[in-house]
Amino acid sequence: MLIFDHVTKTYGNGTKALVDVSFTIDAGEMVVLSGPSGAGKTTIIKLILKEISPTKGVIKVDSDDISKISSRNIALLRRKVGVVFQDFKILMDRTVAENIDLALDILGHDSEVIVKRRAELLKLTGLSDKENDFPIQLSGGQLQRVIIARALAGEPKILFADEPTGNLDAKTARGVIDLLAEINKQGTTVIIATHETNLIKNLKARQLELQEGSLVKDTKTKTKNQVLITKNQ
Amino acid sequence: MTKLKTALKHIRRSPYQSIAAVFMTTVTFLIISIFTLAILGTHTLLTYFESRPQVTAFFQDSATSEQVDSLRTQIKDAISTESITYIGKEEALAIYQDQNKDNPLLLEMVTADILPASLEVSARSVDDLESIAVIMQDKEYIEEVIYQKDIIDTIKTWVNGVRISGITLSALLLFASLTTIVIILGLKFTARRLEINTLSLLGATPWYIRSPFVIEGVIYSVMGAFLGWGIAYLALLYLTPNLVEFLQGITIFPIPYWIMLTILGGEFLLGLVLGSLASLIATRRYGR
Repeated sequence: MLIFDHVTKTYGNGTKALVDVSFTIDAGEMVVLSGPSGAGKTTIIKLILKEISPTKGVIKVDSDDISKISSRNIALLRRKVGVVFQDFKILMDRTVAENIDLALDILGHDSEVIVKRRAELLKLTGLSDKENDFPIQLSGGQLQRVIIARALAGEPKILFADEPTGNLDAKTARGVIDLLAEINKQGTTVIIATHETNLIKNLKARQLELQEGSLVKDTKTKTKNQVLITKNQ
Repeated sequence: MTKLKTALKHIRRSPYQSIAAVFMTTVTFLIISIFTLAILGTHTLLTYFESRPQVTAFFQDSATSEQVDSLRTQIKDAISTESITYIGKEEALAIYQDQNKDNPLLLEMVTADILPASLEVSARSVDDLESIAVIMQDKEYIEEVIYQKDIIDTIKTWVNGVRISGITLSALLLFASLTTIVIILGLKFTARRLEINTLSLLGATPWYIRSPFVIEGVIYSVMGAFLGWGIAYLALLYLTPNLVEFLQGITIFPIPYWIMLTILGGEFLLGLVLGSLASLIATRRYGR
């Protein structure tokens, strides 16, 4: 489903965002990608969406090597991955319904399908009574749900949530995590990137931990660092 | 349909920029319409004069029919002509009466005796007019020779002048319109870069992102084409009585409606090309 094979990303100014990161995420998995700010979580999203290219290594999404995807087909790649952006990227001049419709319109659905699918998404995210509200009228938790609904519009194979609980109170954050867990139960691969480990410690999910661009923990497979630590012990 | 709605929303949200774009394209197409009509008008004028007898020799009353025939033969032998027509005194009177049928006073005063017989020659080439005139002027039984070379030359100069200045001015204005639309759409595109970035991350194709801007550009230029053409047509209808009076006897007006529709069609197509090209240039970053 998603493969990072010895991926390194060094930015133009010399900053090493990722160093030799390898992992494989299978279909239907629930994964928590943790680590402090600047550990490389957002870089992983940018690489998956082909906003940036890796300096070294191979990334495969749904078995497609994305380095071989032409610029014309980047749009098709992005439709496979629903992203809940850290900064929302919501269109403030459009209503909740219009924001969701936009994602469906991009996929080329006709208006009948858009209306039906929108209703399903609003029901799933508990926003059925908010469809005509503008983003400014919504709370942080509600906004986060709108973004989740929008990310799910195209029925993506992978849902990537970047800091979905940032700036939310504990109760609302819990609700968002529960919603993501529910989405995972329905078959979507969910990856949650977060630095708030308290919220996800009870979550039944595979843990990937990044430190300064390196993968230091993978509860499914031992990472190179974990192997080294074990050997030293 | 969604893209059209988005384009119309963009237009509504920045009305002054949209008005500037439509104004510029309207002026452009107004000038194009005016020059197109002027070129067609002068061309019709030229055709009118070229189709008239181009050299006319008026005979003295003493001229005999043998002399007329001899002159006709001499011209035919020397120069390739379209037609040579002899107009006798009675025929000249009939023409005069027809031309002045609304003025009985002028009709009363003129009889066939005072009108000269004439020979009207149409040459195949305007360049031969002078040679024909020289042959005629040599004859002692010729009273006067008039020819329209100067008129035709002047009209030709005018046609060329109108054509060159029209094409030059239209090209400059088209370029100004193109630049205006490119700048306005470029500004709008930049102002909406966050939205565009979001659309791109949601999986929108470059064409999905660009198409509302392309539609917007086409709306500006096509609206300009319609308005420019409409204003020119209204002005033409308003000025028609004055122009008819000015061009006595030359039937340019009314301009057939199919000519106006052809001009509209041409400008509509030009508007489509102009708007599409401008918007594609303004959004070229997303074309790659």
